[in-house]
Amino acid sequence: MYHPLKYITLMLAAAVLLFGSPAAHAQQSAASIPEGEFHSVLPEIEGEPITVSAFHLDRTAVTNAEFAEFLKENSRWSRSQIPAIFTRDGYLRHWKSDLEPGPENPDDAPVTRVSWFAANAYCGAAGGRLPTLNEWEYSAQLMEFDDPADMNAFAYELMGWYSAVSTDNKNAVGSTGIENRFGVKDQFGLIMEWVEDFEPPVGTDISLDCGTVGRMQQLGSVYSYAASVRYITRMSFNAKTVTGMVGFRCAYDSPLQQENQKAL
Amino acid sequence: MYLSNKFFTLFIAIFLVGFAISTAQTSEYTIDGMTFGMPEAEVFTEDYDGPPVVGEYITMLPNLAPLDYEGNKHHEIRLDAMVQEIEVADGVRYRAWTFGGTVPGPVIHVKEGDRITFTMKNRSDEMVTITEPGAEASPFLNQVANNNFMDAKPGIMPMPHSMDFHAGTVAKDDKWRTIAPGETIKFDWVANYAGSYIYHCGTPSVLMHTAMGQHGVVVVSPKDGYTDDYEVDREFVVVQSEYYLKKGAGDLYTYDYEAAQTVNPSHVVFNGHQTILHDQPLEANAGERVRIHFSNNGPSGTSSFHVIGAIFDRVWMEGHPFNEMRGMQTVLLGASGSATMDLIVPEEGKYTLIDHEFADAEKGATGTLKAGAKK
Amino acid sequence: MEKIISIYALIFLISGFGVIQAQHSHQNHNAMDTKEVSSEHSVYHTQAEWTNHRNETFLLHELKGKPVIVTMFYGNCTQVCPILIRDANRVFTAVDSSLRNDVQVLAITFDTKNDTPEILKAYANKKELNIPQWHFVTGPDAAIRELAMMLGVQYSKKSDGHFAHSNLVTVLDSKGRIVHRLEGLNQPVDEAAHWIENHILKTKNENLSHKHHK
Repeated sequence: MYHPLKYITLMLAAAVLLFGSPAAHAQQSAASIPEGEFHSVLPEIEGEPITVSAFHLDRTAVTNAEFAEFLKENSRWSRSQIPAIFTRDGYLRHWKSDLEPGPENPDDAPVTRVSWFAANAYCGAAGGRLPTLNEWEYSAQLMEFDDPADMNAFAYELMGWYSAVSTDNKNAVGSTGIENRFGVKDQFGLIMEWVEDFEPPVGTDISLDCGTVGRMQQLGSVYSYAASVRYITRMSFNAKTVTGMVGFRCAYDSPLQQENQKAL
Repeated sequence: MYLSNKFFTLFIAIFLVGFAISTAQTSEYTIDGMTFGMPEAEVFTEDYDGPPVVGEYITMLPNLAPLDYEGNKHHEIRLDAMVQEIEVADGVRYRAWTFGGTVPGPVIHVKEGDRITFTMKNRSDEMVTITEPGAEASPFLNQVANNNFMDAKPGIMPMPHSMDFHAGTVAKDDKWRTIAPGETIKFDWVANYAGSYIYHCGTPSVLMHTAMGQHGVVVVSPKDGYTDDYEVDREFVVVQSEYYLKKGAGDLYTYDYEAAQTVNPSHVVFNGHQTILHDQPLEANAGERVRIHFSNNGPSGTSSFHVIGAIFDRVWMEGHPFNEMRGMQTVLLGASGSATMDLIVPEEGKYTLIDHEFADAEKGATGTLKAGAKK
Repeated sequence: MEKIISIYALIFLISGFGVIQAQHSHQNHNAMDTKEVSSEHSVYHTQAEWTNHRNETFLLHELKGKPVIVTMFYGNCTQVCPILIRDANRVFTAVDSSLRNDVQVLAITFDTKNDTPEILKAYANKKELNIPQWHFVTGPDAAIRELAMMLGVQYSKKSDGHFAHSNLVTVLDSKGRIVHRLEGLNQPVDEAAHWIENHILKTKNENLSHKHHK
């Protein structure tokens, strides 16, 4: 079927893509993460590390301002229009209106109360995708610690955070001071993040109850203990889940064109 | 001949109908008069914002609701999971993960053989107020409203949660399953055994979820009572538990993971608060028989429970009438263990409930029973 | 005497019925399990643009009005996916030939990199399924992930380029709601086919009565 309007829209979309991804999102550049391997608390083969191919990951989580920009051009993902198949109740309930985070929610704070479907759509529109679970976890543990004691101390803090997280979400992205060695910030301490496959297939045999942590804690470190809490929390979600503690960032297979996109 | 034919046909017809009904039902069956084989749990999303605790026989510690019915009853009970900022000791407040808004959670009272249809919504991503009971609210909520000694305030901390009723005998991967914030789980269970049973969150890390406050007690009263020898004058419920807290960045305390792993609690308390059973002592009179349903909810410690000045006349371990012991000074309970203990109040004065493991006692595991003169 | 025989027959029938009710059919869970889904809402809310093996682009909601059989596969999958495609075809051919024109079949690839429209066309030809009702489809990765999530299909790309995935054939009603799911391989298709037939006839009748009222 020939739709002239469709063609024009396509051309415009192509133009936008060529000259820079959805403007607001381009304000941050993605970090380049080289190929590597890591030991996961949920390995595919016990004892074997998981290999992750090189990819790019947003340095910071998607912010209220960036998501608002996305909604301007994709209003079907706004609070009043999003279909029920894509979210449960509470989607962006803390925002002032459909398109405005409002004064309570700083522009540079991470956006939360978005479902997996919304996050997936945003990243698709940004020319990328959600990171896979392994990519996210691989990046998360690429931090530099002086010695194991440091890492333990960090992990203790992490456990504290998981049991006392605040959903005020007034903190700006980048503010935790936690950064991996490639410049990816706040994978801890700010929000939990959506990944493409938050219920990993290898996890479907594990019923989320007592003993799961023991089963996951093969690595024997405090860090892996904290990781298991994170895995379990993610595995309890479904794609429509919306909470004040969950936001996201995007991954890309090839470097984004990063132009200066202050003009919106 | 004609009559018996008709009768035979009728009998067969009734038999068929009954058979069809019973096989069309679930896979329930009985052994020794106990019912097993509960239907599968349902997990769904609903926009419920009513009272977080629903049920007639649910009360705040140390109270126990009297069971004012004959035979068995089918209870409809709701206990929602949510966050409350509470005080656990003088100057110590933290944002707790709870069932029903208090730590320990509400006391649920049922009779051996009762069936419970239980509903729980994970409201950890909602502000839930427990101090404004509505019309449908359980006695528990009214009691909290009148006696908010933990100074509970709503909070939000979205986490997955689940429910594990030790009093229920069901498949854990079905009924005790974890639900995400916003989801609701609903299932049936039958209180097959008498006793006092812990309920707690079964989501890993269970140590963390229990230590953060998600535990409570179900008292299942035996259908034929404990003893015919006497009537009890007072009945109380006391729960021992630990907190692993350290000072956080602001005014609030936070979970101390290291302390929990090394079983080094910051506080060991009765009924959730370090001084509550001193500020609001249990009351009785000399000469009365007092029954205490005691549960050690842990998460990790043991309890050597003793009442200073008294001896337990009768103790039923785990609260089962078959497990009767006599004349115990101290009852040793492991984590999740319980006992129903009857004591005779000797004379007017004060008696101290205590965990005789003094490291625990000095962290708060003490309470007071105040006795008036003999009536 | 006949009465007693027929009564016993009745008892036998009903007890058999009861036994069947109490049984669970156990699926072969070698592949990834499928996830639970809601059938309240239409999957056609997705706004993604798909491309079929004829190099035509379309939006999913253009399929509204007819029941759709959907399955997800990828071209380089040599062992399991051919069975999936064959299962979808078995549902399709189980529908009475007089009604088959009103059925659409969507076979969506996970492997957007390799399964280009040209490759998909070759695949369709090879399977002799390059017929008007069949669409071998690719689209943006995010869209495939989104649709899989709605259908309850799990998949992940392995390091060797292959995909681990659930095996599922789904039937959507004319509004795009999930009405049938055949989980696993070599599943019986009669129930699904009958449902499709009834649905088509019902829709036809509704359309007819609407025309009459005009």
